[in-house]
Amino acid sequence: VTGAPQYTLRIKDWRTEVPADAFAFNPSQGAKKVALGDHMDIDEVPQGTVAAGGKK
Amino acid sequence: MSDYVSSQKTLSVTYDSDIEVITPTLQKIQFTSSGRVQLSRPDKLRAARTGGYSDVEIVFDGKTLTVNNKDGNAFAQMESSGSVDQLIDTLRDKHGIAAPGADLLFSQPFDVMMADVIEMAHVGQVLSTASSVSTWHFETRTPTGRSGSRPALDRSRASMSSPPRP
Repeated sequence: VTGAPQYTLRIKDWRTEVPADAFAFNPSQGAKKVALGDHMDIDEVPQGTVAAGGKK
Repeated sequence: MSDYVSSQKTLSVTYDSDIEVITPTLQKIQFTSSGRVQLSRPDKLRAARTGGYSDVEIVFDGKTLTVNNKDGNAFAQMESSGSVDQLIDTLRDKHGIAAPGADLLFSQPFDVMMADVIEMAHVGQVLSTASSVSTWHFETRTPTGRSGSRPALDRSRASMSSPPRP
């Protein structure tokens, strides 16, 4: 549908310092490693809500 | 504003986001999320988004990109050397993953937001009561946003604030 989706982002708590360890990834216990394309339903809009082609 | 954002080597923000979609049955539904973005130029990024239906995080340390699905306790990784600029483009163009507020994370956000803009107007002045900051409200048009031949990019209705006060 023309004009959709509509997206609003409100930025809060603006800081200019970041902890040194902020960019290290430590998987939680039992986490499973998958291929990038195999991630299921990680979009903010649940799968199936909008028809194919209407995605952002 | 862009000059200020570009000049910050490290940035950390939290955010609330709303996305409204229209279903094939013409119902309008809004989905809300919150999260945090941390950036260290040129090549480190962590962005998290928690909503009612997903809890996701991307982490990029300059060499490896991790997409972590916290709900499903599953993560995926890929090698990705280069800058955050290149990473954002790759994620958006090849994997359909958009980082929140990604246009503002580029090293030259003004160039990114003004690309394709064919018309721009100053709508007025807005006072944000939440932050007590006065901002200028601009409206821009792009050919893709107007024709609807491609999904309108979020930059087609970007509003730009005066520089945040650190």
